This record gives sequence, structure tokens and C-alpha cells, in this order.
Amino acid sequence: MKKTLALAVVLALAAGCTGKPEPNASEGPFKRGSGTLRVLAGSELTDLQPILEEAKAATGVTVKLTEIGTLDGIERVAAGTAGRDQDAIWFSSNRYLELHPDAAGRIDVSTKVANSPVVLGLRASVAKQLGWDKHRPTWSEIATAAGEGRFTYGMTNPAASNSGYSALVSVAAALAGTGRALTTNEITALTPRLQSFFAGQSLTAGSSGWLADAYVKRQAGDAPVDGLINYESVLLSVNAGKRLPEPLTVVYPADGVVTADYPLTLLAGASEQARTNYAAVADFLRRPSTQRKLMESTFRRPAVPGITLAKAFGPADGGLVELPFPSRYEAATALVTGFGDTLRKPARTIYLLDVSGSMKGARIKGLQTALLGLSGADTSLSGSLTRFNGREQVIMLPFSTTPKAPRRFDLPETGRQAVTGQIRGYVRGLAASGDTAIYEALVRGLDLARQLDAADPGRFTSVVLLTDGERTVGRTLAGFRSWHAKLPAKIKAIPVFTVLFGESHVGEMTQIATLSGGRTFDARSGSLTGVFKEIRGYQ
Amino acid sequence: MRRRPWTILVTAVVLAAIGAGLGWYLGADHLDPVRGVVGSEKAPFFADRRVQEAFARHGLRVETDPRGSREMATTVPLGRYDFAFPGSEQAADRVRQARPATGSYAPFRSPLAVATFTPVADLLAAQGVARRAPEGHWVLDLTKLLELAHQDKRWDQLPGNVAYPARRDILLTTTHPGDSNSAAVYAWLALMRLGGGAGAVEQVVKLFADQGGLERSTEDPFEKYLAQGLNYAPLVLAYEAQYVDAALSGTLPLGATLVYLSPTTSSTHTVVAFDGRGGEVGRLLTTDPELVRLAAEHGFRTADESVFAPVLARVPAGGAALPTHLTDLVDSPDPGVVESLLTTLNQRLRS
Repeated sequence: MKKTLALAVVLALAAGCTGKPEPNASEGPFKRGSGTLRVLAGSELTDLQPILEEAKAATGVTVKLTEIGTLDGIERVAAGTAGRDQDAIWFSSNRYLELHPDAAGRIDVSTKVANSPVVLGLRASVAKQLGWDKHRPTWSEIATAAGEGRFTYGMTNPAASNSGYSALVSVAAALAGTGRALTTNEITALTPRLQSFFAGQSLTAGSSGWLADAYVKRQAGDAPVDGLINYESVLLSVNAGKRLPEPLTVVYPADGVVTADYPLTLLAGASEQARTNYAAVADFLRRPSTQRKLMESTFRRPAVPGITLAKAFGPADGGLVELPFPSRYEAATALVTGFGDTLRKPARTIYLLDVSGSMKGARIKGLQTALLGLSGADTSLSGSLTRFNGREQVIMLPFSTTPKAPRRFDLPETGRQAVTGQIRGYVRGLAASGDTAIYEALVRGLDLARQLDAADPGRFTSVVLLTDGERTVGRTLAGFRSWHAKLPAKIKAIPVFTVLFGESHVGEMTQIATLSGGRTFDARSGSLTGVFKEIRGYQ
Repeated sequence: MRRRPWTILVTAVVLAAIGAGLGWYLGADHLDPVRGVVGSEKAPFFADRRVQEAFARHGLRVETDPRGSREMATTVPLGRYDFAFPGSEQAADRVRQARPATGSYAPFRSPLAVATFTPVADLLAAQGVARRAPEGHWVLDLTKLLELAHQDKRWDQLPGNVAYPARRDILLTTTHPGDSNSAAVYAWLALMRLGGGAGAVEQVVKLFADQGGLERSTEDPFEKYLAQGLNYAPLVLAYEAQYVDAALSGTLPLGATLVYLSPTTSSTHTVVAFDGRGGEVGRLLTTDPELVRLAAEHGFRTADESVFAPVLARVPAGGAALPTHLTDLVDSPDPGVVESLLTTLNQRLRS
């Protein structure tokens, strides 16, 4: 007995010396690989980096995550282009991908790594007010309360991110109340109740991680949001990080949730070395010791049995119910397009477009291509899910030496073609000349937002700023700052999404984004089309 | 002087470590791998170190990838494997059509069953859907279950249901019948129960379409049953072997029990060898006493009853031992009927 103990001590010491994870004796040695496993991954998986470092020490395989939105990832896998520079994919769920008619044969072995249900987090005081600290509401109760304005919440855009999509599936399946997977023709009947639910949404984002950060920032500002629909893991991490003035009460809807299962999936046609590396990494991730660490450090539930759940996981009074995911691609897609065109709080999207002299040539052509794509010219899956939506208000505000006259387009709910045709005509007519009055354009854009919001407050307003250079005339950043500080809270909280392009001033663009609660997007090396599509998730 | 025991111990440990490392170096790790694609329900068996060591004694290092048994004939790149190991003779047929085989071996069987929980079994018993067989184990009356599914009966509509009062249809949670043998066999059993014909096919389609998104291989839903329990699903279709394996490794969720389908069919897990090395794996699984014993320990029914019966006897399920002999067995389905059913299902579910 003593000997065993001493042995354990020595082994522990030995393990400590090398800094290498030691395999648990009963689990056998770690599988080994070499080189890199290239993985196309959802942004929410970046919190696994420390565990991936350990995986490298244990297996010899460096896991290189390349972040991509779920939908773009699906598109690349379905089109067969993902395999060109990647070996595997890793998103929070493969459900939507597996429904895609072109997905069969594109993916090989898959390994489930963890679980996390999509649930609602509410500021403790608001949860108490609603009585949801003691009683678990159904999605129907949640939808009603949201529709009555009793709480506001943030959620990602279902067309861009799996957590928002899972929430949409949950609430739709629960409201339909059939107990079965939702079919396309059942969606229409749910419209009024879903609209009422989404009326309470006051924060959106294209990725779950960014949404959580934006939520935390908003709590410190003048326009806080009450709740957050996200993975349980994200909500518990926010609480554990003590990043909020008051903690979130995690609400587990009584009629069910949709759970992400994080399948690390090999792409079809991967090389033998990639297969070896994949097997080694998958094996490491599923070791009980790794699974426990994953649970403790990222608050995801273990995928393998035999690990006792930590206390943080709910619900205290027992069961979660897993709600059915659509079983057909058509229904799964109809939910997303229906969300954009009919269900969501409609968007007001203001584009501030630099048309100064330096934009001449390829740059303005790139901009035109991007905007034409959003107006219906891009018929790919991601194009069809990021196009301008029914009921959306799109404002184009070009600027050079001064802001030019804004042009407003109001898209109808159905039969958008006439208006998208007008947008395309307008975009083709953009021409470049003159100086760069960035801050004059921002002031003009936000002023316009203030006027429009006063007349029509029930919209999500956001601003996109595209410029390829530095301010040359008009107000400076400091001048804009002091002007911005005096805005009413709601207008101050309008996010400005700045696009880094050409010779943009990175520092200033970042400051504008930070100041307004927006985000910068980098198009300096890629195409504007991709970035404009990505921004759609945030509008 | 006093430190001496430590020094000795450290030396011993280091030597032992070197020895172990050397053994490993000379052992399985440096053999050329024999590659197999196996139904995911057999992944725990192949991952067992004792299994790997048994193969290594015969100079084999077996590497396996888990895939759905029916995916093997559709999307799996069979060219890179020495053998495939699907969950049934029919699935093996499909594999042989996709790539010529040098031999086939049937080392063990495992009947389909439903992993559930005692309160759920009791609830279904009250509904007349589940009952005790004369030997004491639970059985699920497939006809009654299909009736409930046909009526879109939900769990929360069952009187006195406190076990799982969810607003969900009463359905077995399965994999995708186009990808996975367990779901395919269930589809066929249901079709037979419903008397075949077009109306019956519609009802079978509904059994899968109503569940929503489906996993590709049998270990996935079963593992979720193990890790999440009732939070995942109340009735999960699995092979008996998976349940036995989990019971013996102590990973069953609280209150777990196993219910056999009535009628049921015994799935013969079949090794399809594409070359001599793959054939060697099949041969050893069938004849090597150690591997046969280990297969039984992982819950599979081997050819020799005296090997697996004591294992089953160690698994308590619903207060009675698991049955050594299954009754109410129907013969394996006609391959032609199965294929046409699955083709239809695949088209209808993937439209």
C-alpha cells in the first residue's frame, strides 16, 4: 500500500517535471500523431485552447483551429471545398449540416466531445421579479413575458450562429407543442407568438462569444439588457468570471431545450497522417481526466458517462427535456429564412460608404459586388441566408469630402424583388472622387438613426462604416467622441461595425467600434463580400 | 543511508517505466496496423486494452474507425480498410456489394433492445405497452408501441405520468435507418408488425421523421443515454451488448433498465474481410478463446452459450436477470424487402 502511494508520488513528480499530461494507468497510453490537425471550428470553441495545448503535449499533435461561422462552415463542407486546406471540422452541432443534401459523403468519423444546452440567463433580480428563480417557465411563458416587454434579452442571429438557431428551434418546437419534429407547414401558424417572443430581443450578434462579451459591456453602460440566450456553458462561465454586477440566474425552460454536442468530425478524403492525428486528439479529448477538466474549466457537460456533474449544472429540480430538431433540410432552412423575413424584430441597417478618390477602381468594384450580393445576386446558401430581409430598412449613405444625400430602401415582407432591384441600380451607380470626412459621415448617419428611431422605434438599428483610408477633412475622432457622449442612451448604444480596408486607421476604427459597442471586421486581406456577409449576423 | 529505500524505489520505478516502455516499443505499437471500419457499438470492445493485447499476441495491431453499419456501403471509403464489421448479415451483404470480400466471419450476435429507466418501464406497463416475460425480463409490445406512435400520443398525455411528463411523442430514439443497422432493423420489424404495404411504409417513415434529427451510428444516442439519462430521452434503441457493457463498467445512469422488443431479431455482427489480414481478425474473433471471452465480457452473445451466459447473469435489469434464450424471435428479414424499405426511407427522410 505504502509502496503504491510512493510510486504514485514519484510518478506524479515525474509528470510534474516534464509538464506533460500523464495517461491514467487504467486508460492505457496516449495515442500519438505528429504535425498539425487543421480544424475549421466555431468561434465558441476557442476557450478550449488550454486543453488543446495539453492535447499537444500528450499526443504530439498541434490542433490548429481556424474560426468560421457555423453557416459558412456548412457551406464549405457541403460544397466540398473545406477539405482543400482543412482536415476536420468542429462546430457545436452537426445537425444542420447532416440535413444538407450535399453533406453525405463529405464527412467521415465523428466524435462527440461535450454537451451544452441552449438556455436563458437572466439578471438575478429580473428572474426573481418574474418568479423564475423558483418556477421553471415554459418557452410559451417566456415568449409571452418577452412580448409584454417584461424583460429584454440578447441572442445570436440564427442564420449565423448555432446558439441562436438552437434557441429558435427550441421555442418554435415548444410553441408548436406537437411533441414531434417541426415541419415546414407548421411554421406559419406560429408567426404571431414567435414575433411576440422576438419583440423582446434587444441585442444580436453573429457569434455566441461576442454576444456574451457585448452583454457584459452593456451591463456597465446606460442601456443594459436583462437576459442572454446562449449555451449554458457561456452563461456559467460569465458567472464564474464574476464579470457582472449581479449574477445571471440560469433558467431551464420546462418544456425543453436543444443541446449542442460538439462533434469533432474528420472530413472525407483526409490524409492518413490527418486520420492518425485525428484519432489521437479525439482519444485524448474523451479521456475521463480531460472530460473532467473540460467540465471544470469551460462548464460544458461531459460527453462520456461516469463523470459526476459539478454543482453548477442545473436544473436543481430534475429533468431537462430534449426538444426535437427538424428532421428535414427544408424545414430547418425555412425556420432561418422565416426568422429573417417575418419573425425577428426588423432591422434598420445604415451603410456609411467611403466613395473618396482612393476607392476608385478595384475597391469600389469590390464594394459593389458585396452589396449586390446582399441584394439577391448571391444565391449560395450563405448568400440566401444573409441577403437583405423582408421588412428591413436599408440606408445607403455615401461620403467623400462631405456626407452625401442618404438613400433609404424599405423592403416589404414578401415580394422584395422590386426594392432589391432598386438597391442594385443604386449600388451600380456609386462612383468615387474627393476627400474622406469619416466623422462627418458618422454624425450624419447617427443623426439620421435618431430621427428614424423616433418615428419607428421597434427596429434593431446598426451602422456599418467602410472606409479605405484616414480622415482628411471635417470633424476628428476627438470631436466625434464628445458629440457621441451627449447622445441619448438608446442612440449611443447603436453599434457601429467598422470594416478595416485598404489603408484604414486601425486604431481609430477600433476606437469607434469600442465606443459604440460594435466590432471591427478585417477585409484588408480578404474580400469585402465575405466580411459584409459576416456583418449580417450582427445587424 | 535513510534515503536508501527511496533511491531503490526510484530506480525500480525508472526501470519499470523503461521496461514498460520497452515492452510497448517491442509490442503492438510497432506492428503495421490492420484497419477496420466497425459499427460504433463495437468501439468500446476494440478500445479495450486487453483486446488490443490479445490481438498483439497474434502479431496484429487493430485500428478501428466507428461508423454507421449502413454508411459502410455508401459513404465510407472502404478501400483503406482491411475489414468492415457491420452489425448484421444484411449490412454485411451491402458491404460485400460495395467491395469484394475475401471472407466473412460471424463471431457474435446481439439482439436489439431498448435502454430505459424503471419508472418509465412501469409507466409503459400500466399502459399495457411493456410487460414481464415469463423469465422475468421486461419486453416491449411493439404492436402497442406502434399504435401509440400512430396516434401521436405524447408522454404528458399518459395518466399518472410523473416519470417523464414531457410534451414529446412516445417514440423510440433511434439512429438514421439509412446510416445505421440498428435503426434499419427496427424499421423492418415495425414494417412486419404493420403488415407491410404502402400505408405501413408511411407509418414507418413517421417513426423516424417525427423524432427530428437523427444520429448516424448506434453508440452516439446510447452514449447520450449514459451521460445524460432522462435529460436525453426516455427510450433509446440499442444493442443488448451496449447495455451489458455499460452495466459491467458501472456507467449506467441511475434507475436504468433494459426492455427487449417483442418480437425481436438477433443481429449477427459480421466481419467482412477484404484481405488476409482482415480475415485474420475475423478468424481470431471467432476462434481465439481470449477474444471470445472478451467479446462476451463486452456483452456480445458468442457462439458458445457457456461463455456469455455467466456474463448476462451478472447484469441486473428490472429486478431479473437478462434472458439467455430469447423468445419471440423472428427470422432475419429478406434482404430484398429490407433494401427496398431502406431505399424508400432514405428518399423520404432526406428529401
